[in-house]
Amino acid sequence: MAGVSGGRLVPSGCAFLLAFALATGIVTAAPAWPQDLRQEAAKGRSLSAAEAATLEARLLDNPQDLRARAQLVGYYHTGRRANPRRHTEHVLWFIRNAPESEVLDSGPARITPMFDADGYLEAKRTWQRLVREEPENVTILRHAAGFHAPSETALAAALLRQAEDLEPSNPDWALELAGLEWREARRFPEGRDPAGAARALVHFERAYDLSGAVDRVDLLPDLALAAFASGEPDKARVHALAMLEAAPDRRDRGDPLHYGNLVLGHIALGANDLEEARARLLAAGRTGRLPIERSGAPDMSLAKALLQRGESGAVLEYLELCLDFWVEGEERLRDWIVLVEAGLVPDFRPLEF
Amino acid sequence: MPVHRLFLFGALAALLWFGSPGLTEDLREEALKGWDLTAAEAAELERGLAADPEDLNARAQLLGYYFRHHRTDPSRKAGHVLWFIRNAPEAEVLEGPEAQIMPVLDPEGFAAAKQAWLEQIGNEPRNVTLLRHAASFFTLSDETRSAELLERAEDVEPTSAEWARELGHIHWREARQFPEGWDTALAERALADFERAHALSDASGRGPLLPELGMAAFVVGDLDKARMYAEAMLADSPDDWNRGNRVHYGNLVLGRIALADGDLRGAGQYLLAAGRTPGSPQLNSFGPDMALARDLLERGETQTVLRYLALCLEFWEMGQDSLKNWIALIEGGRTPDFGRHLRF
Repeated sequence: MAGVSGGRLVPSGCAFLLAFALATGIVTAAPAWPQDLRQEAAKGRSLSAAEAATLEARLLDNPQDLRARAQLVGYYHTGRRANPRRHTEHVLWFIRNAPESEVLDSGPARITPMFDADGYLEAKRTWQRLVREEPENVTILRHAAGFHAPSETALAAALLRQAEDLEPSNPDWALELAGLEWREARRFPEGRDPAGAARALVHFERAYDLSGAVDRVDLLPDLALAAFASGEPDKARVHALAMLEAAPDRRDRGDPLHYGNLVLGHIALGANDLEEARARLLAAGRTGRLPIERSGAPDMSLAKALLQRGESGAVLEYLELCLDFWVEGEERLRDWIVLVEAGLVPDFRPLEF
Repeated sequence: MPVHRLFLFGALAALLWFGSPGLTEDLREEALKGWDLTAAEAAELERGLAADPEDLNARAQLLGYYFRHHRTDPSRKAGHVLWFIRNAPEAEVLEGPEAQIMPVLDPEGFAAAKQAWLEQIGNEPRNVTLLRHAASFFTLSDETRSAELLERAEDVEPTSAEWARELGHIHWREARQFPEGWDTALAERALADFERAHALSDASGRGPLLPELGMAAFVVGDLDKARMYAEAMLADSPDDWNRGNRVHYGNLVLGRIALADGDLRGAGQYLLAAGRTPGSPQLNSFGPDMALARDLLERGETQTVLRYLALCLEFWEMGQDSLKNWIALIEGGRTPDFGRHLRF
């Protein structure tokens, strides 16, 4: 397939033809094939074993059938515990032959070291070689970073910093780096790690500075939450108020209204202003729309903090309000209502920012 | 064999021969001690090891320390695990969780340790201690390889119950992790392993196998066998650490068989008898099984299940919050998600 000579990727034979076909759209005959391949991977999750076998047979005749291969990446990712090696083989094929394909920017193209440690290392070595060969290819850097992000955060961060050095005015890199730090900060066993949140905040602020007006509004929830978690309530308040100000102009006003009020409620609680905290919680519940951009579910951190202060009345009202817009969470909300009525504090994880 | 390894083996053998309290046991205790080290104490031990790499106590403590702080610096831990595998592969500290490397945290460290184990096994393919330690290393990360190593050990020692028992645990765990529910074929393998272990064990080894035997037999649909093992659990109840497990699972298996026969009242009585267990190290930490309670709840036996949960409050020290939540949910007309408390 792709020939390797002297440590360099050399498109030889069919690899060259494949690269040419990809470039000209011959293979898929569709605009934006990478997007399509991500959709194909998503489709693959619901394949039956017989359908997967048919696709495998098709690949024997035509190894460059990218749609079939992408579907199989999705299929084997779902069942990777049972058959990790086959999943790895398809992912490796993409890394070696089409490393810029956006299917590699998706969850199904991640190899879980727990299920296939050897395959993970093989893919890691391949990414390292590709990065060495094309150190200025930001697509390869992005895909390599995404591959390592779940298990090797430091390595992923180094790749993102390398990309940011190449594209210092692109906010995506700062945003990705912020995401890595923020995820680590929230893994902290005793709750959010303020130092990690502060590191995330620095990246979020850089992404904000580099972004246009529309994207800046989208960054406000992250900025406010990270500022609050890192012990900077004044900054958090500024971003929270900016969210409430921006909300009327937003078609998808769920996020700014929800998180703006939530952060102001937390700040009020920190100042022992229970009345304000209660009011903000209810305002966060009256957004009437899901805060879909972040989590697809309402945040429960302020509800939990108020419950721990004995404020079950406001929390019950909040949970009832959430029933109006969080349809998927109805069963969980009804469980929580029962528990709060019984004087207990439910386990709201992972819906606490 | 390297000279320093010969020295270590000699030291281990001499200590054991002269009636030491057990170096290998001591090393496991050292690993446990390491859990409580501060960063400064760990750094001090690291400095000491630079001068004396064969200070086994210090190295074992560091294994414990890095196990506890596994996210901070996974590669440091791998270095110590590798040292033990290469230089003292028979040290029992390698049998504990501190000596495992999770590939998700340190893929290179895992690969190096895997290679080191395979080399050791290649050099001494019939050394059952090495096979045991290597199987333990792979037990969470590569169950297939772990099972292969145990099978090889069983070939070397076909009359030892240990290998069949450990194989049973692996197959039982795999059978339960099957995404679409129980994998009956794996449960059957687990049952066969446990039965082989049971046949090879003496009386003290047979008792602890009965709960798994009863549950696996029930899962594969062999209700006669399941009943036989459950009755053995209840008949054979010496007052040892396992008594609480036998009382709990013996009654639960009989209760599920009663329910399968349509005997709702009998099933409820067995559930309450299971709740009257005196507890055990496992039940007190990980909690009771809720499979029969779930089945009875589905059939409207709410009050019986509530009484069972109240009984469980007596022994499940670490699960008080979970039990209170489940009680509140059932009283509020909801059905709790019992999650991992459905063992069979």
